[in-house]
Amino acid sequence: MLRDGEGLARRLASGHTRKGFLGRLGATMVGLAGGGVAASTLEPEVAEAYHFCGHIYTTGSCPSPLGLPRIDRDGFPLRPKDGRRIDNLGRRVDAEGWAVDESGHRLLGPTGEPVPKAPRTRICQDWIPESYGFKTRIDGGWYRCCGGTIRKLVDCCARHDKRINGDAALTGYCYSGRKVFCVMYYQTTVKC
Amino acid sequence: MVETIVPVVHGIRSWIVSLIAFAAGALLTAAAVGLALGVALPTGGSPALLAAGLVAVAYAVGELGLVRLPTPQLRRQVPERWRERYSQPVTGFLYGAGLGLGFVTYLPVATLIVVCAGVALVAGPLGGAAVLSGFGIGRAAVLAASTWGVRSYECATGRVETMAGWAADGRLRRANGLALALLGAVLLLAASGATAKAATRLDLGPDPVADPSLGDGDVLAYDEVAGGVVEGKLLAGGTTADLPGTHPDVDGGRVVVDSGPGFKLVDVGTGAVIRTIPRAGTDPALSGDWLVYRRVASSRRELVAFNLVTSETRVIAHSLLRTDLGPADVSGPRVVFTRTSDRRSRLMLYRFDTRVSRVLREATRAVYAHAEVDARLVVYTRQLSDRQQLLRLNLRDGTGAVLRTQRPGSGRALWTVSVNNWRFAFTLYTATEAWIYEL
Repeated sequence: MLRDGEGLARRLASGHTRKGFLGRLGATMVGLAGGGVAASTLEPEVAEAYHFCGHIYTTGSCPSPLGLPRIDRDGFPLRPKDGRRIDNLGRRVDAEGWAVDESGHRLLGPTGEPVPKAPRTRICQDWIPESYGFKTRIDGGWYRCCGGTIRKLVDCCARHDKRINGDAALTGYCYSGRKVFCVMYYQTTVKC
Repeated sequence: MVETIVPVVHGIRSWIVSLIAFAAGALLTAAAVGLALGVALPTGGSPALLAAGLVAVAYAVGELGLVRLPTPQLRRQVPERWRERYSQPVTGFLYGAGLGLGFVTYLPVATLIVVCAGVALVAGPLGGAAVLSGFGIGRAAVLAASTWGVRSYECATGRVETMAGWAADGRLRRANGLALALLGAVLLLAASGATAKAATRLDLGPDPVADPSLGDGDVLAYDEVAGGVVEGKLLAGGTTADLPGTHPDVDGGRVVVDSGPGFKLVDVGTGAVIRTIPRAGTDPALSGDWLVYRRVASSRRELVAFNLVTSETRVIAHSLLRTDLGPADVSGPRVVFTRTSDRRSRLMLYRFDTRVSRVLREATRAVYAHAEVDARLVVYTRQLSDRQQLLRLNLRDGTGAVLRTQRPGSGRALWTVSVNNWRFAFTLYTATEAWIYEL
């Protein structure tokens, strides 16, 4: 059921607690050998079109402001194309949460006041419980090489038999009876 | 069931008590159904009216026998054993509660379906409960009419049979069909009227304008941005005059502006400054004795209410600096404002008389902003990832409607709004221009 490279990476990664990114990175570097195989045998564009780079399973993306579910280390949404911080409306925001333009200047209304702020909440921990009505948890992830740096693919897990696609959910890296509801990714700056 | 609640054997007093119990049961469950339907869907504007009108027309055609449409019903009768097990008032309450649900018994006409669809599509929870309460009252009224003053069970059943005779030969369904067709036509006309009502761009000169505040008649205060400088303007009687500050808010014959070091009250008729209030803050709003404004104090944002007569000062809302505490508007005892934190955006209502705030709208993937209130009518903007909307909310019955939708692709965005006596004004702006429109 698992493809070769992905299966190796999953088996290697599953032996670790996956509680923190840095703790997991060491195991991931070993797993990259397998992940690299998968990445090299798939055209990046094809993988991106199928779902997103590094993810060739059918479990759908978690809902996110701009489609592709790129997150930061805490689970907050980032702009997929460059990893900039975005709010729940998909607008680029500064560190205080105000919407900014591409130069980083605050967006202003016609009389010079900043445009209203939008909430910025975590995709798995906040969006899914709000939208679907059950608790979720990030249990773990696995790693791929995407765009020249390591990408951590993250399972958003729930005690729910159906995944976001509407069909039967898979166990994935979820613990304690939880199953994968949807997937997200965290793009590191570690070259691969 | 009618034989259970009649003034025979148990007497008039027991009949009255049972009838009241029946009415209470029917009213309770019917209102609960209305409440549930009211919260099932968001209250919508003209699209919702259109959908409700189409449902009414479809079932009107069905009632006239031209098409067959499904009528959800269980066709059950009330359990006879209840009247052996319980006292007459308890039985009356239970029978009322069962019949108040509507769909769990026989429905001879489709009116209830149309009403329920209309409630789900158009009304809010309170409005839905009120509308469906009418159904419960109707159930009780029929029972009262069929049992009033009867001296025997046979007389009661005879009345019911007489009523049933009125519906013979399809007369009732035909009459109901015509009534539903009339209702559908009214709803469809309302829907088409709502969509056809276009906003009018006000001719206020070549410079960008924003922050409208509608007064009575042709009075309009607003901000004009000329050469990067914001200036308050007052349009009254066809003449535009400068105001001694910005962000104006009209209240009857007065307008308040932010003059920098404080606020100034200006007479709309003469243009004279009638009072200066030396308080630091921004975005003033005025109604009666109360002036409400924003300020930043002690590392937090505050909405402050100042009583112009007693000089009482109240902090009616506060937040962390990180939270976007929007400007407030005041009308009578009500203050509306928005509050957007990292976690959620809220449209809030505060009342001076109760000193209590409550949440009117709440969202995590939308932004509420630019709230204004006039009596019990609230207007505000809601921004989603794919559109921005101008909405109204009637606090009287909880109903709301979308007044305008702006898509990002248009290059224009909604800004500040105003409401006065069911007239609406709003700001549209681009990177270089801004206009005020009136609905």
